[in-house]
Amino acid sequence: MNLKYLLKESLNGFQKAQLSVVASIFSIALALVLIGGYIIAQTNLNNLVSTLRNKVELEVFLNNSETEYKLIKTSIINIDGVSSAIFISKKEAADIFKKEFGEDINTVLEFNPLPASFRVTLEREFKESNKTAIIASKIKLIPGVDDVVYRKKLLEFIDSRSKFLTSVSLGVGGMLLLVSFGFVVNTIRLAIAGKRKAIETMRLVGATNSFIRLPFIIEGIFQGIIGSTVALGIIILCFYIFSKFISSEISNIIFLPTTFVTLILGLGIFLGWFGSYFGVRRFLK
Amino acid sequence: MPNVINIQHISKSYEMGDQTVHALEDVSLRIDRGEYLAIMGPSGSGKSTLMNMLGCLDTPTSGLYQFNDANVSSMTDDDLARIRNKEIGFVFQTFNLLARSNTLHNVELPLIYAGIRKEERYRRALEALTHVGLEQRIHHKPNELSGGQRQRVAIARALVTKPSIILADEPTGNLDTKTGDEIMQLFGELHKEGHTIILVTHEEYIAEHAHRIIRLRDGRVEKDEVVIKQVKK
Ligand SMILES: Nc1ncnc2c1ncn2[C@@H]1O[C@H](COP(=O)(O)OP(=O)(O)OP(=O)(O)O)[C@@H](O)[C@H]1O
Ligand SMILES: [Mg+2]
Repeated sequence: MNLKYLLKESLNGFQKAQLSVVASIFSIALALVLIGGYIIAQTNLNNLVSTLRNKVELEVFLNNSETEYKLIKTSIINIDGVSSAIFISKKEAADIFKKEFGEDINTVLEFNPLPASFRVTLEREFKESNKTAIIASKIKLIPGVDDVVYRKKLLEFIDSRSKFLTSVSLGVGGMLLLVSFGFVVNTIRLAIAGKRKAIETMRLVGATNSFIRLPFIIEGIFQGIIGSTVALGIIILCFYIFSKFISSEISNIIFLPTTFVTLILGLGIFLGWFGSYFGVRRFLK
Repeated sequence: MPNVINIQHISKSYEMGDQTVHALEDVSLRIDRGEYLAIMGPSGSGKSTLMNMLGCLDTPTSGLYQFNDANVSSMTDDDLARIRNKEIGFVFQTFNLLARSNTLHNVELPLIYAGIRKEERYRRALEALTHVGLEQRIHHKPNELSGGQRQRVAIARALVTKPSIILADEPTGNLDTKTGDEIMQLFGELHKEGHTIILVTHEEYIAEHAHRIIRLRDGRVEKDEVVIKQVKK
Protein backbone atom coordinates (compact mmCIF):
# COMPACT_ATOMS: atom_id res chain seq x y z
CA MET A 1 0.00 0.00 0.00
CA ASN A 2 2.68 2.47 1.04
CA LEU A 3 5.05 1.21 -1.61
CA LYS A 4 2.67 2.21 -4.35
CA TYR A 5 2.44 5.68 -2.89
CA LEU A 6 6.21 5.87 -2.60
CA LEU A 7 6.70 4.87 -6.19
CA LYS A 8 4.18 7.45 -7.27
CA GLU A 9 5.94 10.11 -5.23
CA SER A 10 9.35 9.13 -6.50
CA LEU A 11 8.25 9.21 -10.12
CA ASN A 12 6.68 12.62 -9.73
CA GLY A 13 9.98 14.33 -10.44
CA PHE A 14 10.24 12.48 -13.72
CA GLN A 15 6.79 13.40 -14.89
CA LYS A 16 7.61 17.03 -14.33
CA ALA A 17 10.89 16.62 -16.27
CA GLN A 18 12.47 19.32 -14.18
CA LEU A 19 15.76 20.75 -15.22
CA SER A 20 17.34 19.49 -12.02
CA VAL A 21 16.44 15.89 -12.89
CA VAL A 22 18.03 16.32 -16.31
CA ALA A 23 21.09 17.82 -14.64
CA SER A 24 21.39 14.86 -12.27
CA ILE A 25 21.14 12.35 -15.13
CA PHE A 26 23.63 14.37 -17.15
CA SER A 27 26.10 14.47 -14.27
CA ILE A 28 25.90 10.70 -13.86
CA ALA A 29 26.33 10.17 -17.61
CA LEU A 30 29.30 12.51 -17.76
CA ALA A 31 30.98 10.84 -14.78
CA LEU A 32 30.46 7.42 -16.35
CA VAL A 33 31.76 8.49 -19.76
CA LEU A 34 34.94 9.69 -18.07
CA ILE A 35 35.29 6.57 -15.93
CA GLY A 36 34.38 4.30 -18.86
CA GLY A 37 36.82 6.02 -21.19
CA TYR A 38 39.48 5.66 -18.56
CA ILE A 39 38.76 1.95 -18.12
CA ILE A 40 38.95 1.32 -21.87
CA ALA A 41 42.18 3.25 -22.23
CA GLN A 42 43.63 1.47 -19.23
CA THR A 43 42.60 -1.96 -20.47
CA ASN A 44 44.10 -1.39 -23.88
CA LEU A 45 47.30 -0.07 -22.41
CA ASN A 46 47.61 -3.12 -20.18
CA ASN A 47 46.85 -5.27 -23.15
CA LEU A 48 49.60 -3.65 -25.19
CA VAL A 49 52.11 -4.05 -22.39
CA SER A 50 51.33 -7.70 -21.84
CA THR A 51 51.52 -8.38 -25.58
CA LEU A 52 55.00 -6.90 -25.58
CA ARG A 53 55.93 -8.91 -22.52
CA ASN A 54 54.62 -12.10 -24.07
CA LYS A 55 57.01 -11.69 -26.94
CA VAL A 56 59.95 -11.90 -24.60
CA GLU A 57 61.70 -15.28 -24.68
CA LEU A 58 65.19 -16.52 -23.89
CA GLU A 59 67.54 -17.93 -26.43
CA VAL A 60 69.89 -20.39 -24.82
CA PHE A 61 72.93 -21.18 -26.97
CA LEU A 62 74.75 -24.41 -26.33
CA ASN A 63 78.36 -25.48 -26.59
CA ASN A 64 79.10 -27.78 -29.41
CA SER A 65 78.33 -30.95 -27.47
CA GLU A 66 74.89 -31.58 -28.95
CA THR A 67 74.59 -35.00 -27.39
CA GLU A 68 73.60 -33.86 -23.89
CA TYR A 69 70.72 -31.66 -25.00
CA LYS A 70 68.06 -33.83 -23.29
CA LEU A 71 69.83 -33.44 -19.99
CA ILE A 72 70.16 -29.70 -20.50
CA LYS A 73 66.49 -29.49 -21.39
CA THR A 74 65.49 -31.22 -18.15
CA SER A 75 67.69 -28.84 -16.18
CA ILE A 76 66.14 -25.82 -17.89
CA ILE A 77 62.57 -27.04 -17.47
CA ASN A 78 63.20 -27.72 -13.80
CA ILE A 79 64.03 -24.08 -13.12
CA ASP A 80 61.21 -22.24 -11.38
CA GLY A 81 59.32 -20.04 -13.83
CA VAL A 82 60.24 -21.77 -17.05
CA SER A 83 57.20 -22.89 -18.95
CA SER A 84 58.72 -24.50 -22.04
CA ALA A 85 62.01 -25.10 -23.82
CA ILE A 86 62.08 -25.92 -27.50
CA PHE A 87 65.25 -27.43 -28.89
CA ILE A 88 66.65 -26.01 -32.08
CA SER A 89 69.45 -28.06 -33.57
CA LYS A 90 72.30 -26.68 -35.61
CA LYS A 91 70.52 -27.81 -38.74
CA GLU A 92 67.25 -26.18 -37.72
CA ALA A 93 69.12 -22.99 -36.93
CA ALA A 94 70.57 -23.06 -40.42
CA ASP A 95 67.09 -23.56 -41.85
CA ILE A 96 65.82 -20.59 -39.92
CA PHE A 97 68.75 -18.56 -41.17
CA LYS A 98 67.95 -19.54 -44.70
CA LYS A 99 64.35 -18.59 -44.25
CA GLU A 100 65.17 -15.21 -42.83
CA PHE A 101 68.11 -14.19 -45.00
CA GLY A 102 67.40 -16.23 -48.12
CA GLU A 103 70.88 -17.70 -48.24
CA ASP A 104 72.23 -20.99 -47.15
CA ILE A 105 74.85 -20.44 -44.49
CA ASN A 106 76.61 -23.66 -45.45
CA THR A 107 77.29 -22.38 -48.94
CA VAL A 108 78.34 -18.93 -47.69
CA LEU A 109 80.80 -20.15 -45.10
CA GLU A 110 81.16 -23.76 -46.16
CA PHE A 111 80.34 -24.83 -42.65
CA ASN A 112 77.58 -24.15 -40.13
CA PRO A 113 78.70 -21.80 -37.34
CA LEU A 114 75.26 -21.54 -35.79
CA PRO A 115 75.11 -23.26 -32.41
CA ALA A 116 72.26 -25.43 -31.29
CA SER A 117 69.91 -23.61 -28.93
CA PHE A 118 66.80 -23.72 -26.82
CA ARG A 119 64.00 -21.28 -27.19
CA VAL A 120 62.77 -20.86 -23.60
CA THR A 121 59.45 -19.29 -22.69
CA LEU A 122 58.60 -18.21 -19.16
CA GLU A 123 55.51 -18.36 -17.08
CA ARG A 124 53.45 -15.21 -17.10
CA GLU A 125 54.44 -13.86 -13.71
CA PHE A 126 58.15 -14.38 -14.40
CA LYS A 127 58.18 -12.06 -17.38
CA GLU A 128 59.75 -9.24 -15.40
CA SER A 129 63.28 -8.01 -15.81
CA ASN A 130 64.52 -9.11 -12.34
CA LYS A 131 62.98 -12.54 -12.46
CA THR A 132 63.99 -13.10 -16.04
CA ALA A 133 67.55 -12.09 -15.21
CA ILE A 134 67.65 -14.60 -12.34
CA ILE A 135 66.38 -17.38 -14.58
CA ALA A 136 68.87 -16.42 -17.27
CA SER A 137 71.78 -16.61 -14.82
CA LYS A 138 70.56 -19.98 -13.54
CA ILE A 139 70.41 -21.32 -17.07
CA LYS A 140 73.86 -19.99 -17.74
CA LEU A 141 75.23 -22.16 -14.93
CA ILE A 142 73.98 -25.35 -16.56
CA PRO A 143 76.91 -27.28 -18.06
CA GLY A 144 76.79 -27.23 -21.83
CA VAL A 145 75.19 -23.78 -21.98
CA ASP A 146 77.28 -21.20 -23.69
CA ASP A 147 75.22 -18.08 -23.54
CA VAL A 148 71.70 -16.79 -22.77
CA VAL A 149 70.30 -13.97 -24.82
CA TYR A 150 67.02 -12.09 -24.44
CA ARG A 151 65.70 -8.60 -24.97
CA LYS A 152 66.87 -7.38 -21.63
CA LYS A 153 66.64 -3.68 -22.45
CA LEU A 154 63.08 -3.98 -23.75
CA LEU A 155 61.98 -5.80 -20.64
CA GLU A 156 63.65 -3.26 -18.37
CA PHE A 157 62.04 -0.47 -20.35
CA ILE A 158 58.57 -2.01 -20.05
CA ASP A 159 59.08 -2.62 -16.36
CA SER A 160 60.23 0.87 -15.47
CA ARG A 161 57.58 2.54 -17.62
CA SER A 162 54.74 0.30 -16.57
CA LYS A 163 55.43 0.89 -12.88
CA PHE A 164 55.39 4.59 -13.51
CA LEU A 165 52.32 4.31 -15.74
CA THR A 166 50.48 2.15 -13.21
CA SER A 167 51.01 4.62 -10.40
CA VAL A 168 50.09 7.58 -12.60
CA SER A 169 46.97 5.92 -13.93
CA LEU A 170 45.95 4.73 -10.47
CA GLY A 171 46.28 8.33 -9.32
CA VAL A 172 44.35 9.63 -12.30
CA GLY A 173 41.69 6.95 -11.86
CA GLY A 174 41.31 7.70 -8.15
CA MET A 175 41.03 11.41 -8.79
CA LEU A 176 38.54 10.81 -11.57
CA LEU A 177 36.41 8.63 -9.32
CA LEU A 178 36.54 11.14 -6.48
CA VAL A 179 35.80 14.16 -8.64
CA SER A 180 32.96 12.52 -10.52
CA PHE A 181 31.39 11.22 -7.32
CA GLY A 182 31.63 14.66 -5.76
CA PHE A 183 30.16 16.19 -8.88
CA VAL A 184 27.21 13.78 -8.93
CA VAL A 185 26.50 14.14 -5.20
CA ASN A 186 26.53 17.91 -5.54
CA THR A 187 24.24 17.97 -8.53
CA ILE A 188 21.76 15.63 -6.91
CA ARG A 189 21.99 17.59 -3.66
CA LEU A 190 21.11 20.75 -5.56
CA ALA A 191 18.15 18.98 -7.11
CA ILE A 192 17.03 17.78 -3.69
CA ALA A 193 17.53 21.25 -2.20
CA GLY A 194 14.67 22.37 -4.43
CA LYS A 195 12.46 19.99 -2.47
CA ARG A 196 13.72 20.88 0.99
CA LYS A 197 10.39 22.43 1.97
CA ALA A 198 8.62 19.22 1.09
CA ILE A 199 11.21 17.28 3.11
CA GLU A 200 10.67 19.61 6.07
CA THR A 201 6.92 19.10 5.79
CA MET A 202 7.33 15.32 5.65
CA ARG A 203 9.51 15.47 8.75
CA LEU A 204 6.94 17.64 10.48
CA VAL A 205 4.11 15.20 10.01
CA GLY A 206 6.23 12.36 11.29
CA ALA A 207 7.75 10.57 8.32
CA THR A 208 10.79 8.60 9.44
CA ASN A 209 14.10 9.43 7.78
CA SER A 210 14.12 6.19 5.83
CA PHE A 211 10.61 6.89 4.58
CA ILE A 212 11.63 10.36 3.41
CA ARG A 213 14.79 9.02 1.84
CA LEU A 214 13.18 6.18 -0.08
CA PRO A 215 11.54 8.15 -2.92
CA PHE A 216 14.76 10.09 -3.46
CA ILE A 217 16.78 6.90 -3.56
CA ILE A 218 14.39 5.22 -5.97
CA GLU A 219 14.58 8.33 -8.14
CA GLY A 220 18.36 8.32 -7.83
CA ILE A 221 18.57 4.71 -8.95
CA PHE A 222 16.33 5.44 -11.94
CA GLN A 223 18.56 8.36 -12.82
CA GLY A 224 21.57 6.08 -12.46
CA ILE A 225 20.08 3.58 -14.92
CA ILE A 226 19.20 6.27 -17.44
CA GLY A 227 22.54 8.00 -16.91
CA SER A 228 24.53 4.83 -17.51
CA THR A 229 22.49 4.02 -20.61
CA VAL A 230 23.26 7.46 -21.98
CA ALA A 231 26.93 7.04 -21.05
CA LEU A 232 27.13 3.63 -22.74
CA GLY A 233 25.56 5.12 -25.86
CA ILE A 234 28.15 7.89 -25.93
CA ILE A 235 31.05 5.53 -25.24
CA ILE A 236 30.02 3.02 -27.89
CA LEU A 237 29.57 5.81 -30.41
CA CYS A 238 32.97 7.31 -29.60
CA PHE A 239 34.54 3.88 -29.70
CA TYR A 240 32.99 3.13 -33.06
CA ILE A 241 34.19 6.38 -34.60
CA PHE A 242 37.62 6.00 -33.00
CA SER A 243 38.18 2.44 -34.17
CA LYS A 244 37.13 3.35 -37.71
CA PHE A 245 39.99 5.80 -37.89
CA ILE A 246 42.62 3.70 -36.22
CA SER A 247 41.64 0.14 -36.92
CA SER A 248 44.39 -0.45 -39.50
CA GLU A 249 47.17 0.51 -37.11
CA ILE A 250 46.00 -0.94 -33.81
CA SER A 251 43.70 -3.70 -34.82
CA ASN A 252 43.42 -5.33 -31.43
CA ILE A 253 41.72 -2.62 -29.40
CA ILE A 254 39.41 -4.36 -26.98
CA PHE A 255 36.13 -3.25 -25.55
CA LEU A 256 35.10 -5.90 -22.97
CA PRO A 257 31.45 -6.08 -23.94
CA THR A 258 29.55 -7.72 -21.09
CA THR A 259 31.85 -6.98 -18.19
CA PHE A 260 32.16 -3.38 -19.23
CA VAL A 261 28.44 -2.83 -19.74
CA THR A 262 27.66 -4.48 -16.41
CA LEU A 263 30.32 -2.40 -14.69
CA ILE A 264 29.06 0.91 -16.10
CA LEU A 265 25.45 0.03 -15.32
CA GLY A 266 26.39 -1.03 -11.79
CA LEU A 267 28.44 2.11 -11.28
CA GLY A 268 25.54 4.22 -12.56
CA ILE A 269 23.10 2.63 -10.15
CA PHE A 270 25.60 3.00 -7.34
CA LEU A 271 26.23 6.66 -8.23
CA GLY A 272 22.49 7.38 -8.28
CA TRP A 273 22.00 5.66 -4.95
CA PHE A 274 25.09 7.23 -3.41
CA GLY A 275 24.25 10.69 -4.68
CA SER A 276 20.68 10.68 -3.47
CA TYR A 277 21.55 9.07 -0.13
CA PHE A 278 24.13 11.73 0.67
CA GLY A 279 22.20 14.43 -1.14
CA VAL A 280 19.16 13.99 1.07
CA ARG A 281 21.10 13.40 4.27
CA ARG A 282 21.88 17.05 4.85
CA PHE A 283 18.18 17.90 4.95
CA LEU A 284 17.20 15.23 7.43
CA LYS A 285 18.71 16.72 10.60
CA MET B 1 -3.46 16.12 36.56
CA PRO B 2 -1.04 14.35 34.17
CA ASN B 3 1.69 16.39 32.54
CA VAL B 4 1.76 16.09 28.79
CA ILE B 5 5.10 17.81 28.80
CA ASN B 6 7.68 17.89 31.53
CA ILE B 7 11.03 19.48 30.77
CA GLN B 8 13.64 19.94 33.46
CA HIS B 9 16.81 22.06 33.19
CA ILE B 10 16.91 21.94 29.43
CA SER B 11 19.71 23.68 27.56
CA LYS B 12 20.38 23.96 23.87
CA SER B 13 23.54 25.41 22.44
CA TYR B 14 24.90 25.71 18.94
CA GLU B 15 28.60 25.69 18.11
CA MET B 16 29.31 28.49 15.68
CA GLY B 17 33.00 28.24 14.89
CA ASP B 18 34.80 28.91 18.15
CA GLN B 19 31.72 30.54 19.63
CA THR B 20 28.89 28.83 21.48
CA VAL B 21 25.40 30.21 21.13
CA HIS B 22 23.17 29.36 24.07
CA ALA B 23 19.71 29.34 22.50
CA LEU B 24 18.14 27.89 25.65
CA GLU B 25 19.56 27.82 29.16
CA ASP B 26 18.19 25.84 32.09
CA VAL B 27 14.55 25.95 31.05
CA SER B 28 12.09 23.96 33.18
CA LEU B 29 8.43 23.70 32.28
CA ARG B 30 5.43 21.50 32.95
CA ILE B 31 2.44 21.63 30.66
CA ASP B 32 -0.81 19.92 31.57
CA ARG B 33 -3.35 18.32 29.31
CA GLY B 34 -5.89 20.89 28.14
CA GLU B 35 -3.74 23.96 28.69
CA TYR B 36 -3.65 26.91 26.30
CA LEU B 37 -0.19 28.34 26.56
CA ALA B 38 1.55 31.21 24.81
CA ILE B 39 5.32 31.56 24.53
CA MET B 40 6.46 35.15 24.10
CA GLY B 41 9.75 36.99 23.94
CA PRO B 42 11.85 39.22 21.78
CA SER B 43 13.42 38.00 18.57
CA GLY B 44 16.25 35.57 19.21
CA SER B 45 15.09 34.76 22.74
CA GLY B 46 14.74 31.07 21.91
CA LYS B 47 11.02 30.68 21.20
CA SER B 48 11.40 28.67 18.02
CA THR B 49 14.20 26.64 19.56
CA LEU B 50 11.96 25.71 22.48
CA MET B 51 9.13 24.96 20.07
CA ASN B 52 11.32 22.63 17.98
CA MET B 53 12.39 20.92 21.18
CA LEU B 54 8.82 20.46 22.40
CA GLY B 55 7.87 19.22 18.93
CA CYS B 56 10.63 16.60 18.93
CA LEU B 57 12.13 18.16 15.81
CA ASP B 58 15.31 18.76 17.72
CA THR B 59 16.86 17.31 20.85
CA PRO B 60 18.26 19.30 23.78
CA THR B 61 21.99 19.50 24.47
CA SER B 62 21.29 18.64 28.10
CA GLY B 63 18.35 18.22 30.43
CA LEU B 64 15.32 15.98 30.73
CA TYR B 65 12.32 15.92 28.42
CA GLN B 66 9.37 13.71 29.20
CA PHE B 67 6.44 13.50 26.84
CA ASN B 68 3.44 11.66 28.26
CA ASP B 69 5.88 10.17 30.81
CA ALA B 70 8.17 8.78 28.11
CA ASN B 71 11.77 9.97 28.09
CA VAL B 72 12.30 11.80 24.82
CA SER B 73 15.99 12.48 25.46
CA SER B 74 16.84 8.82 24.98
CA MET B 75 14.71 8.20 21.89
CA THR B 76 15.93 7.26 18.42
CA ASP B 77 15.12 9.34 15.35
CA ASP B 78 12.42 6.88 14.38
CA ASP B 79 10.82 7.10 17.83
CA LEU B 80 10.82 10.88 17.57
CA ALA B 81 9.22 10.67 14.13
CA ARG B 82 6.50 8.43 15.54
CA ILE B 83 5.80 10.92 18.34
CA ARG B 84 5.59 13.79 15.86
CA ASN B 85 3.28 11.70 13.73
CA LYS B 86 0.88 10.56 16.42
CA GLU B 87 1.12 13.02 19.30
CA ILE B 88 1.96 16.43 17.87
CA GLY B 89 0.22 18.68 15.40
CA PHE B 90 2.26 21.52 13.90
CA VAL B 91 1.01 24.83 12.58
CA PHE B 92 3.62 27.25 11.23
CA GLN B 93 3.69 30.77 9.99
CA THR B 94 4.65 29.50 6.55
CA PHE B 95 1.88 26.84 6.47
CA ASN B 96 4.28 24.08 5.34
CA LEU B 97 1.93 22.43 2.87
CA LEU B 98 3.03 20.27 -0.05
CA ALA B 99 2.69 22.70 -2.97
CA ARG B 100 1.92 20.05 -5.56
CA SER B 101 -0.70 18.20 -3.54
CA ASN B 102 -4.32 19.16 -3.03
CA THR B 103 -5.96 19.95 0.28
CA LEU B 104 -7.14 16.41 0.86
CA HIS B 105 -3.75 14.85 0.24
CA ASN B 106 -2.04 17.40 2.47
CA VAL B 107 -4.36 16.57 5.33
CA GLU B 108 -4.04 12.83 4.69
CA LEU B 109 -0.24 12.97 4.77
CA PRO B 110 0.30 12.16 8.48
CA LEU B 111 -2.16 9.28 8.14
CA ILE B 112 -0.19 7.87 5.20
CA TYR B 113 2.92 7.78 7.36
CA ALA B 114 0.88 6.24 10.17
CA GLY B 115 -0.01 3.42 7.76
CA ILE B 116 -3.76 4.01 7.81
CA ARG B 117 -5.90 2.58 5.02
CA LYS B 118 -7.20 4.71 2.21
CA GLU B 119 -10.93 4.76 3.08
CA GLU B 120 -10.22 5.51 6.72
CA ARG B 121 -7.78 8.27 5.68
CA TYR B 122 -10.36 9.87 3.47
CA ARG B 123 -13.02 9.74 6.19
CA ARG B 124 -10.78 11.28 8.83
CA ALA B 125 -9.29 13.93 6.53
CA LEU B 126 -12.76 14.99 5.44
CA GLU B 127 -13.86 15.16 9.07
CA ALA B 128 -10.88 17.38 9.97
CA LEU B 129 -11.48 19.60 6.95
CA THR B 130 -15.16 19.95 7.87
CA HIS B 131 -14.02 20.95 11.33
CA VAL B 132 -12.11 23.94 9.91
CA GLY B 133 -14.80 24.74 7.36
CA LEU B 134 -12.96 23.67 4.22
CA GLU B 135 -15.00 20.66 3.13
CA GLN B 136 -15.78 22.51 -0.12
CA ARG B 137 -12.09 22.96 -0.99
CA ILE B 138 -10.67 19.45 -0.85
CA HIS B 139 -9.41 19.38 -4.44
CA HIS B 140 -7.73 22.79 -4.38
CA LYS B 141 -3.95 23.10 -4.46
CA PRO B 142 -2.37 25.45 -1.86
CA ASN B 143 -1.81 28.19 -4.45
CA GLU B 144 -5.55 28.13 -5.19
CA LEU B 145 -6.37 28.97 -1.59
CA SER B 146 -6.21 32.19 0.45
CA GLY B 147 -3.66 32.55 3.26
CA GLY B 148 -6.32 31.98 5.91
CA GLN B 149 -7.57 28.89 4.07
CA ARG B 150 -4.04 27.52 3.79
CA GLN B 151 -3.60 27.92 7.51
CA ARG B 152 -6.89 26.10 8.04
CA VAL B 153 -5.58 23.24 5.92
CA ALA B 154 -2.49 23.15 8.14
CA ILE B 155 -4.71 23.13 11.22
CA ALA B 156 -6.84 20.34 9.78
CA ARG B 157 -3.64 18.39 9.14
CA ALA B 158 -2.54 19.05 12.72
CA LEU B 159 -5.88 17.76 14.01
CA VAL B 160 -6.31 14.72 11.82
CA THR B 161 -4.21 12.37 13.95
CA LYS B 162 -5.94 13.51 17.17
CA PRO B 163 -2.64 14.55 18.75
CA SER B 164 -1.88 15.24 22.41
CA ILE B 165 -0.72 18.78 21.67
CA ILE B 166 -0.92 21.35 18.93
CA LEU B 167 2.19 23.49 18.46
CA ALA B 168 1.73 26.77 16.60
CA ASP B 169 4.73 28.99 15.76
CA GLU B 170 3.47 32.48 14.79
CA PRO B 171 0.39 31.00 13.09
CA THR B 172 -0.98 34.44 12.26
CA GLY B 173 2.36 35.93 11.21
CA ASN B 174 1.57 35.81 7.49
CA LEU B 175 -2.10 36.76 7.79
CA ASP B 176 -3.94 40.08 7.96
CA THR B 177 -5.56 41.04 11.25
CA LYS B 178 -9.04 39.89 10.37
CA THR B 179 -7.97 36.50 9.03
CA GLY B 180 -5.59 36.17 11.98
CA ASP B 181 -8.50 36.76 14.35
CA GLU B 182 -10.51 34.04 12.63
CA ILE B 183 -7.63 31.61 13.02
CA MET B 184 -7.29 32.57 16.71
CA GLN B 185 -10.99 31.98 17.11
CA LEU B 186 -10.53 28.52 15.65
CA PHE B 187 -7.74 27.82 18.15
CA GLY B 188 -10.08 29.03 20.92
CA GLU B 189 -12.72 26.53 19.80
CA LEU B 190 -10.19 23.71 19.60
CA HIS B 191 -9.09 24.51 23.14
CA LYS B 192 -12.68 24.42 24.37
CA GLU B 193 -13.02 20.98 22.79
CA GLY B 194 -10.15 19.84 25.01
CA HIS B 195 -7.07 20.25 22.83
CA THR B 196 -3.77 21.26 24.38
CA ILE B 197 -2.40 24.27 22.53
CA ILE B 198 1.05 25.84 22.67
CA LEU B 199 1.39 29.05 20.74
CA VAL B 200 4.46 31.12 19.92
CA THR B 201 3.79 34.77 19.20
CA HIS B 202 5.21 38.27 19.17
CA GLU B 203 1.89 39.98 19.62
CA GLU B 204 0.38 40.70 23.04
CA TYR B 205 -3.17 40.65 21.68
CA ILE B 206 -2.61 37.20 20.19
CA ALA B 207 -1.07 35.94 23.43
CA GLU B 208 -4.13 37.15 25.33
CA HIS B 209 -6.13 34.30 23.84
CA ALA B 210 -4.01 31.94 25.91
CA HIS B 211 -4.56 31.12 29.55
CA ARG B 212 -0.93 31.05 30.51
CA ILE B 213 1.95 33.10 29.14
CA ILE B 214 5.62 32.18 29.33
CA ARG B 215 8.07 34.96 28.59
CA LEU B 216 11.57 34.10 27.39
CA ARG B 217 14.60 36.33 27.39
CA ASP B 218 18.09 35.27 26.28
CA GLY B 219 17.11 31.62 26.37
CA ARG B 220 15.75 31.71 29.94
CA VAL B 221 12.23 31.77 31.31
CA GLU B 222 11.74 35.30 32.52
CA LYS B 223 8.11 35.03 33.59
CA ASP B 224 5.50 32.27 33.76
CA GLU B 225 2.05 33.68 34.52
CA VAL B 226 -1.47 32.34 34.48
CA VAL B 227 -3.69 34.87 32.76
CA ILE B 228 -7.05 33.25 33.28
CA LYS B 229 -7.78 30.54 35.79
CA GLN B 230 -8.35 27.35 33.89
CA VAL B 231 -11.86 26.15 33.84
CA LYS B 232 -12.15 23.09 36.06
CA LYS B 233 -13.33 20.01 34.21
N1 LIG C 1 20.56 26.15 13.79
C1 LIG C 1 21.10 27.13 14.53
N2 LIG C 1 22.42 27.32 14.54
C2 LIG C 1 22.99 28.29 15.26
N3 LIG C 1 22.32 29.14 16.04
C3 LIG C 1 20.97 29.01 16.08
C4 LIG C 1 20.30 28.01 15.32
N4 LIG C 1 18.98 28.12 15.55
C5 LIG C 1 18.85 29.15 16.41
N5 LIG C 1 20.01 29.70 16.73
C6 LIG C 1 20.26 30.82 17.64
O1 LIG C 1 19.54 30.58 18.81
C7 LIG C 1 18.93 31.77 19.29
C8 LIG C 1 17.43 31.58 19.44
O2 LIG C 1 16.85 31.42 18.15
P1 LIG C 1 15.29 31.20 17.95
O3 LIG C 1 15.05 30.92 16.50
O4 LIG C 1 14.81 30.20 18.91
O5 LIG C 1 14.70 32.64 18.30
P2 LIG C 1 13.19 33.14 18.29
O6 LIG C 1 12.86 33.51 19.67
O7 LIG C 1 12.33 32.13 17.64
O8 LIG C 1 13.30 34.42 17.39
P3 LIG C 1 12.20 35.02 16.35
O9 LIG C 1 11.17 35.70 17.16
O10 LIG C 1 13.00 35.99 15.54
O11 LIG C 1 11.68 33.89 15.54
C9 LIG C 1 19.29 32.85 18.31
O12 LIG C 1 20.37 33.58 18.86
C10 LIG C 1 19.73 32.12 17.08
O13 LIG C 1 20.72 32.83 16.41
MG1 LIG D 1 11.18 32.02 15.76
